[in-house]
Amino acid sequence: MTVDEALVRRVAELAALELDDDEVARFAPQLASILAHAEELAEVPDADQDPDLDPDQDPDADQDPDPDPDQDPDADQDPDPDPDAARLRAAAPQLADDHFVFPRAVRGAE
Amino acid sequence: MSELASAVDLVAAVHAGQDADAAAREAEARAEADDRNAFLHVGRTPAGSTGPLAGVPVALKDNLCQRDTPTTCASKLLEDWVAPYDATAVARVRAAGAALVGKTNMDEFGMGSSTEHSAFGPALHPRDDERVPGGSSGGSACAVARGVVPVALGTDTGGSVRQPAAFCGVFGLKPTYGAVSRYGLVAFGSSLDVVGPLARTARDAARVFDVIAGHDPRDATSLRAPHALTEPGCDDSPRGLRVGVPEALLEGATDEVRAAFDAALARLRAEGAEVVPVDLPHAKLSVSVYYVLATAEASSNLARFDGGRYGLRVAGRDPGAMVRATRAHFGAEVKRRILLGTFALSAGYHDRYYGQAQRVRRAIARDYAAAFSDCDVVATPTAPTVAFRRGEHADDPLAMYLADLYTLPASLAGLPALSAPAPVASGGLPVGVQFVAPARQERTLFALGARFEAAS
Repeated sequence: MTVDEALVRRVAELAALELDDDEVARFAPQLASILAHAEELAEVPDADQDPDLDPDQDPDADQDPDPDPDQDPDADQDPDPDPDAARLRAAAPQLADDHFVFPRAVRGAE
Repeated sequence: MSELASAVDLVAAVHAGQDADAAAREAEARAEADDRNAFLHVGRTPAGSTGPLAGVPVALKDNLCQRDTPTTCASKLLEDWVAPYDATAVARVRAAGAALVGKTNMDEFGMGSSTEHSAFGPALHPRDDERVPGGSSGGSACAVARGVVPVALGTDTGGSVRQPAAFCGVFGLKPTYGAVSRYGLVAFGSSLDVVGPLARTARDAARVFDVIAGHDPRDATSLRAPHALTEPGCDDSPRGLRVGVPEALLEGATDEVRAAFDAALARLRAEGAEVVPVDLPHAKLSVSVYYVLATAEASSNLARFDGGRYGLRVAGRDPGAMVRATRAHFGAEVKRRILLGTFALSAGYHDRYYGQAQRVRRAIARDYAAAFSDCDVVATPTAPTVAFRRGEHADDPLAMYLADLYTLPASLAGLPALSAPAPVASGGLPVGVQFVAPARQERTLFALGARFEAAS
């Protein structure tokens, strides 16, 4: 795999990032260096052993896989920490009738 | 202005009848006068006169939401955004009586180890203008080290509480993953992010941790087990504790760091702890694992900054152009990590990078489980060097990433870790000693950390 400026431009397009020519030129060798270092992961022979199949070693066993919808969310909380929906909407760059407004995506049809 | 007292002493004074807002007023004045660029916003909320943090001024890293207060993540994308609600950790310190006095500088969205990657200028080391305070919670660490506040909240994805704590000579705790709610923390790497305290004393750090820990139904990864207080651990003796040292991992430490680490081990031996060798064979791969997984998660989390619902919007000729023009305002380090993460998740490379990194991550966790059959905690330096010079890694991000080697393994394994100030020669820059314990054993960390009060 060659990490060059063309690859950086393709990945930037996937990530919806606008890069100028200087950024592309700077990032290409840096990403090449970082990914070359990460190749060491492929050399780990026993990484396929997966103890997570053992429920006794499940690292998430103590966490909440499915929060109980009946549980009072305010039980151990500040009386009103819930984000107020109106205040969240007020932070938007543009609103219409309480909906977020994006620029028109399809042109020509009214 | 009076000398800064510890949080524990301030609480005692308030409970004895002293004006609860007195310390917060002084902290606000110190924050306004701070010349380290440690604060991005200064503004005081009223203190309570009851509770375990009554009257204690607390600073918050600027990626923690504080109601009606700017929360920028040190990014142009959120420069004008005001949080409409409190993060759970913030709500809990408020409810415990603390006064909030400001939001602290950081690397943009938590991405960096130096607080040089802030859209609002770098924070400086508390003692040396030419050096960094560490990162990404560099503003919080600097504010505590300078005596602006006795305690601050930071966040730690791969070392962002512990490494700046080490560079600045204060205590920094990365709790067990899930012990503190992530609700209201602007996400970077969701499987790694934790909120933790920085403090001038181990007891203050434990006090704050005990306030912010505990189950939160708003965070699906929040631990459900009741939180057991850790502050009493500061009075526990380290006698009989077995401290494991993974010698093979320490090869990259400078002589200065190694000397301080050895002095820390000597102090623990003198207090009755036993130092034993342990092996963490996969830990040396942590940098590669972390910079694949964390960037993959970041590329997904930061997709929300599209100019649509909040934050910056830059006009474009169509929606795609608008999104790209808006996201062009991310800083260089954030762009670099989004690119890395997007690549690691892309078709054709997903299993080679992301899948394999997940497998090695599990191997690192297995290594710790095996080591803990021979010891109670694992000890290393917190960082291989003292605070480095500003700009030292500007053109070589991989060199910056490699400096995270000692903090990343515990992050990947979800384990609690404490950085405490190690003994250093007079006039030397601070060095941190890091202790890593099994999940939810923070009390053991404080039993060891409390041996290093006023060490530096």
